[in-house]
Amino acid sequence: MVAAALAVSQPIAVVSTRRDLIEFMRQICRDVGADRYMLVDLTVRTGEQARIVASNWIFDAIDMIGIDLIAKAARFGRTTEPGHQLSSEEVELLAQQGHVDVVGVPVRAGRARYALLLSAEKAGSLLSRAVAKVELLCSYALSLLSGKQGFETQVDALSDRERECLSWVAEGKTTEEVGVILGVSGSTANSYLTSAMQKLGARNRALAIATAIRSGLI
Amino acid sequence: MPVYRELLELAEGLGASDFCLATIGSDRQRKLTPIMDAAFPDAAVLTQQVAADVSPAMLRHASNSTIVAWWAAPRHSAVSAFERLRWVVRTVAIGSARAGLVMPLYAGRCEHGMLVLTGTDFAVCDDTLAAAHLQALELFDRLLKLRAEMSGGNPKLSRRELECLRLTAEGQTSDEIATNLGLSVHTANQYLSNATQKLDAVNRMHAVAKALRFGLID
Repeated sequence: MVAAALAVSQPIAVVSTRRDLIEFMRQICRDVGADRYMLVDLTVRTGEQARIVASNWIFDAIDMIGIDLIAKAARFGRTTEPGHQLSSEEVELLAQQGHVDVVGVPVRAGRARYALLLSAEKAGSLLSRAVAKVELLCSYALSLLSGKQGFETQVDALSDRERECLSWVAEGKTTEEVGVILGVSGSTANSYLTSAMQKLGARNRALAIATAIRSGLI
Repeated sequence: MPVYRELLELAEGLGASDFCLATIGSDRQRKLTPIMDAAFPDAAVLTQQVAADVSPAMLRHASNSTIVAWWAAPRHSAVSAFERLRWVVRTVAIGSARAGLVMPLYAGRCEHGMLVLTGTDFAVCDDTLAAAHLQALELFDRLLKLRAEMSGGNPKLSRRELECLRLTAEGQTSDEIATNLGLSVHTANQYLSNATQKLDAVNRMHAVAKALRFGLID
């Protein structure tokens, strides 16, 4: 019946501050029967850790479980159901910290990607049926919040030349070929690529391309 | 039920008389491509107007946010209906319709779109709008999957091949991937070249870019 409550629903929250977000998450937890939530931003420059946007986890548990496992769990389904991609050790580690019934909900807000981990101490507490609705409501909340804070992804971080070079590399061209296409020397093309990698915080080209595609730059 | 029927019913449910569903290109041009409308299989007037009239600001909104946007002529009955929804945003009119709604849509890993609904008798509240939006997201997802299937579908990659690609897109070298997955470097490289072949890519960079764009990895 809690799911029904979520289906008829309270008014959609106008989330414009972090405080609103936390209140909103509290409401979501009540509606789906979760004790804890963890919202992580997955649109980080890879190589860095996923960033926690909001959470009511005990700090020790975050430390103990590790943000990488949290981010992984948040991407993959429900731990009490088949199909999730955590190892039994990982499930056990979560359970030891009181996260027995765990549902990962991927959330998108425009190009930004988040993952929400909802968990309960008792198996079978969470209402899977409500998950799709939660996904949309979180997407609204995060869209509103990012609109207010104006943090668009690093859309203009790259110069036109850097972007051009990257997009040709993403088409499988070599540095030399990119040089020919753009009418510059191979070493000039290379320096565009190097500076693009630096700006994107990427340690190599594959990561630079992936980051650029993920944030809609190319 | 066919997607077209469901969209029609969705529109009617909100009091709209016309709709146009379009994809938005994931690169910087954000090219708008209408894929279905109320006159399907013909093209409705609304679709021509959508194609000609949608502002870059609207396209930016639809690819950066999930928040529903609306417009209505001054003193139109829809104004008060929409103003009651505190979380939606007002936008400029698309085409000649006196009132309308724009739902940002997303699917797969980096596909975006929008559903434009127009009419004169909008009847919406938080819950009906969110429910319709949820349904629109599902339909958009189904439609894109259907389209991908019709165009031959995405290449089928094995779990290992996808894992290797995913780690490459995270900036890992073959050595690191091998260590991470408990493989020999040779095997890791073999998975990557199989993946490259299956994706019809010329090299690894190209394969990573294609896999991201197909939504095979994220």
